[in-house]
Amino acid sequence: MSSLETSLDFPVIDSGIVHDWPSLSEIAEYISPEWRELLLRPYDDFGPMVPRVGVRYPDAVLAEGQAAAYSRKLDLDELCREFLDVGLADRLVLLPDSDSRVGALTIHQLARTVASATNDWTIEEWLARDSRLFGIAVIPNQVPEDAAAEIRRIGDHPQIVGVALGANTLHRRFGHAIYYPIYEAAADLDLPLVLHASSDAAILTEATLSPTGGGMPSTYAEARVLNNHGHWSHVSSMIYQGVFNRFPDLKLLLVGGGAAWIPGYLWRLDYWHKAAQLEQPHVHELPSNYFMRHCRISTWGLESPARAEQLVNILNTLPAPGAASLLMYASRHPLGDSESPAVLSARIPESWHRRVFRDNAAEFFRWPAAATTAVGIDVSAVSPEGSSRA
Amino acid sequence: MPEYHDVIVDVDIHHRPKTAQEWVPYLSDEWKRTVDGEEVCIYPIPIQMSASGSLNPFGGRRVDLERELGVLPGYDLEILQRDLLDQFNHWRGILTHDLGDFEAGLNPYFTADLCRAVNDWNVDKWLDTDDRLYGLVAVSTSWPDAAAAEIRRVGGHEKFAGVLLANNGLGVPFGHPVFHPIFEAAAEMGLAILFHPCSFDLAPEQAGGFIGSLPEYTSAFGQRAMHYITSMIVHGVFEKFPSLKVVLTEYGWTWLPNLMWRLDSQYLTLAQESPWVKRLPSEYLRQHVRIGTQPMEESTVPDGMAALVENVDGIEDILCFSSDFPHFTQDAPWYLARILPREWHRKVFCENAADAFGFGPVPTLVGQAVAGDAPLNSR
Repeated sequence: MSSLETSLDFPVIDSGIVHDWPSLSEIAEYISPEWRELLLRPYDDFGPMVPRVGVRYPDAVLAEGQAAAYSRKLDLDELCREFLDVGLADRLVLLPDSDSRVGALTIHQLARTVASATNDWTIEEWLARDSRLFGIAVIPNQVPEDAAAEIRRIGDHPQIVGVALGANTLHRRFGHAIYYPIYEAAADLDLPLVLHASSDAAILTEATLSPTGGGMPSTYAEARVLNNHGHWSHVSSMIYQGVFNRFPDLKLLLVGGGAAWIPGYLWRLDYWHKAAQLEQPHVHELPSNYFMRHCRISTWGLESPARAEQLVNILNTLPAPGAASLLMYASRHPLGDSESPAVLSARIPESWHRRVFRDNAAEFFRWPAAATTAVGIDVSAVSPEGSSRA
Repeated sequence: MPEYHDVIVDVDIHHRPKTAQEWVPYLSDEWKRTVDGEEVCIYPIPIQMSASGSLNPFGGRRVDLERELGVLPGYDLEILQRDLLDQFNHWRGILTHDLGDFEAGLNPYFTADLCRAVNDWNVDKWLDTDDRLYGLVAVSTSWPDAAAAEIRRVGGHEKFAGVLLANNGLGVPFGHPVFHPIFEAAAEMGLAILFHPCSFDLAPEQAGGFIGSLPEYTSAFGQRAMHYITSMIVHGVFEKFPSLKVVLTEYGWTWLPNLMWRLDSQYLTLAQESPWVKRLPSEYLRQHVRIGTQPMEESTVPDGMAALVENVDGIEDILCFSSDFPHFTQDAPWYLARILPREWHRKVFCENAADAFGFGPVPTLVGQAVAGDAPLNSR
């Protein structure tokens, strides 16, 4: 992977460092004792207890040289060296891959302990080591009350800045009322939500749920190509079923699904809002209004046409306040297809840079007050009440 | 604003019998005995269906026509001619059934026989009634070998232009090798494949799990189109059947930039996992895939749709006008005419579709237009 470069004259906020425990043994000490033996038993032919997430390419299908890049472990020294100490970024948000793995656990008690173990591991072994790192809570959403309890358990930590919605383990789209405890807890703690494009791919065996429309894809690559489908379905559900009406402070970051399909998608949502109004007494505004206000889109997964202006022209059809207010930079470090600020800034207008690389993230996540003023402050000295949005 | 008054090839016109009883005389004797005038449940158990607890206004058809006729429109030729074919200078129109959900019935023997009956009914009652109307061979999508046999049985009729793949009777997307006998037979018979979204697919129609409202369902047809195109590329449909053209109707097209660019950026990984991806995926798409324009969105910013369409290379060779008559979501030609650059009109309104369905050179009304660009009524 090439070293990171930036042409910007300000430090970025990177809202997409890929963060994952490489094996369950890494988080063993955080797992509840009654479940530890089951989760850590070596399974020979049956594979590990927690299956590998579907849309992270297994090494076997990667081109030579890519496998190494995809297997790279996140390294704190490297983060400091490549990002923080050189001033390329002053805040890094660690995005969990393992939110999908929690979703793959159909035994809900296991999901609960793996989720909380993941969060404890993140806090103790990453966030505690550098105040410029920030984490996203993983939740066991197949029992929404458990998820809400987990949000309330660790959500006050000043370096926890959001909540990962995870895979759709209940097979009801995320607009369904069954998820209200999650949204209530997140809203109470002022934490935004993050939805990964490939989350639903973790659940590979259920007949009623598919990560893609039209059935299961045959290849990992297809799942990547089509990974906006989860966003497509869940966001329409959350809008049409009035989640943003009920929780007016809730925010949602979409990661990995790209953005070129969003303008047409919003117009289509608006059309059907008008056509099916009788069914939506709880939807008071145009869906596109809700979307632009409550949702943000990670640059992770942003499409790459042959000519960059083609994407920009399409994104410029977004309603006010427009694409510059919607996009949030995510490097996807340390994966092989990560995108440095230099590469991304070359393909979006300069007038967007300040917002995309910094301000949108600064306004989206729930940062501790100290992070908004200077870098390198020991946030353990900051009380939760000192958190702010700016 | 650009207008269009030349001929049209319309790739999505829904037709239906007045009642399903019209099909019964065309069934084989053994199934006539079983049916015997009773209501027969031919639908698979719905996995995701908008009707349960959710409103589809006026059954999804135009209420003005329903009031005029007293029943669901689509069976009446005179109204089709009056309101669509004559009014908009249709040169050819593809009849796509309404919606062809008999194709994925649970009983494979009855379904095969019913498709055969529908095809014979189509020839008898529709295809010879108006020179402009062309049909699609209905096939059992849950039994591809039977489907292939049916394509070979009737597909030679000069008024069949393609094969309809509506609802999916198997649990995998339509490019999967299990469906290849259908593509093979269609290619052999010189027929295009036309996909149309239908309910009662046996594979989940959309991502995300159960829907909670009608608009969640209706706003997401594009997902299946994206997947079918991707699946056909991955499984080598266009390598194996290089003469085949496929047309996808009523899925919209504003998802196309994302799909095309994603397919190409994932080229290497697609090629790693499939021996069939030998060229850039977008090349297969451009050469073999055509997309009906309906349903078009109305952009909330001025010229939004025009900006979308003008930033996808070669889209002028891919889109084909479709009306979706007589559903209430139908599009009028004049709306599409405004969005497209004028120099694309002939391609999108008629030439691309004529090429996909093998209709030969398309005539023009230019030179016959009356002064002032007033619309022509050609009958």
